[in-house]
Amino acid sequence: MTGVGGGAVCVAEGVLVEPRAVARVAAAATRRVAGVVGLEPTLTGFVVELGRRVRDVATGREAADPVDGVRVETTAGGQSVVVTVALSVGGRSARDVSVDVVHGVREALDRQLGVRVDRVEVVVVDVALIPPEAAEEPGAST
Amino acid sequence: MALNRGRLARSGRLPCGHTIDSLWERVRSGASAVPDEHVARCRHCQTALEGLRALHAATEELAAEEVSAPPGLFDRVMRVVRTEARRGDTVPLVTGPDPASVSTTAVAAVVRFAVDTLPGQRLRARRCRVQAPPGTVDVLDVSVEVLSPSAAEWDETELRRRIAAVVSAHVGVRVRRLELDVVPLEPGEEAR
Repeated sequence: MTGVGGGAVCVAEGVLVEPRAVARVAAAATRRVAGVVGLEPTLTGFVVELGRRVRDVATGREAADPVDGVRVETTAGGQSVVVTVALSVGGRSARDVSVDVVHGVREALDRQLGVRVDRVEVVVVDVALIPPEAAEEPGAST
Repeated sequence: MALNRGRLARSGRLPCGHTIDSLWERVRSGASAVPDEHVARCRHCQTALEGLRALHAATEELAAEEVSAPPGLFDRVMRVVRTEARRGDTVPLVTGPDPASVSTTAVAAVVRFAVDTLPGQRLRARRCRVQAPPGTVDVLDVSVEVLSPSAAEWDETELRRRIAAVVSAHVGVRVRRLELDVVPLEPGEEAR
């Protein structure tokens, strides 16, 4: 996860939410969507996350859930969440999964943190492949 | 550690004039056990030596510790490297305030997969190009090179239908234009 820009998100007077918390909730919401195989970090994000986990282990802190592939941008005028996911299709299309991810992330951020995002963007970087014959239900035609 | 930065007259130098570097060198080389007239009498040097010996012991302990990579690290690195190559060009899946897109490399892999797994055939897809017609969403133009054994008999319409079905099922978009470039392979010639 990379937090970029204006820092913490103000959700109420005197209540701030760190971008990392936004990323963790967004990551968890994304993983819950049927058809999501995993979150895919960029090379830079992966190295940063690895460093964070090593630091957590070295300092005896419980390692946080990985939030690779979730980028949170906060700006002075609002905040946006960009989620990058890899998809397992398994009877679900990348398009359908993307739509569900957007809804899931928006709903989870609003309900759990009170954060209302301006934009959720999904980029599918990989599609897991299974033969259509294997995905078909018995008796279904091609 | 017993070193007190505030008591160093200059950076790295003790009030007695000895440097931390020289003491550290003594500890590191094992010479700190050899009596030195000044060091043996100087409380600054003794205090520093005590701290440096503790630091050296801790360093040695850490260096001797066998470190193993977290389980699954190699697989994760390889996955990151692979998907990194797939970022780049994308085509839109959804437009609007919450846009979604998919990597053209991922779509091309889906197309190649559809060709390679045509039941009963040994076709192989090679180069594949995926484009979204300007100003459109939900549709793609695809061109793919298909390597086919020269003796093979297969129905091009069936292949076209399969590619469209697999792309629709896995990606969720319609193939608007599909260009097939069939390259016959002679017997014994490897498809890949």
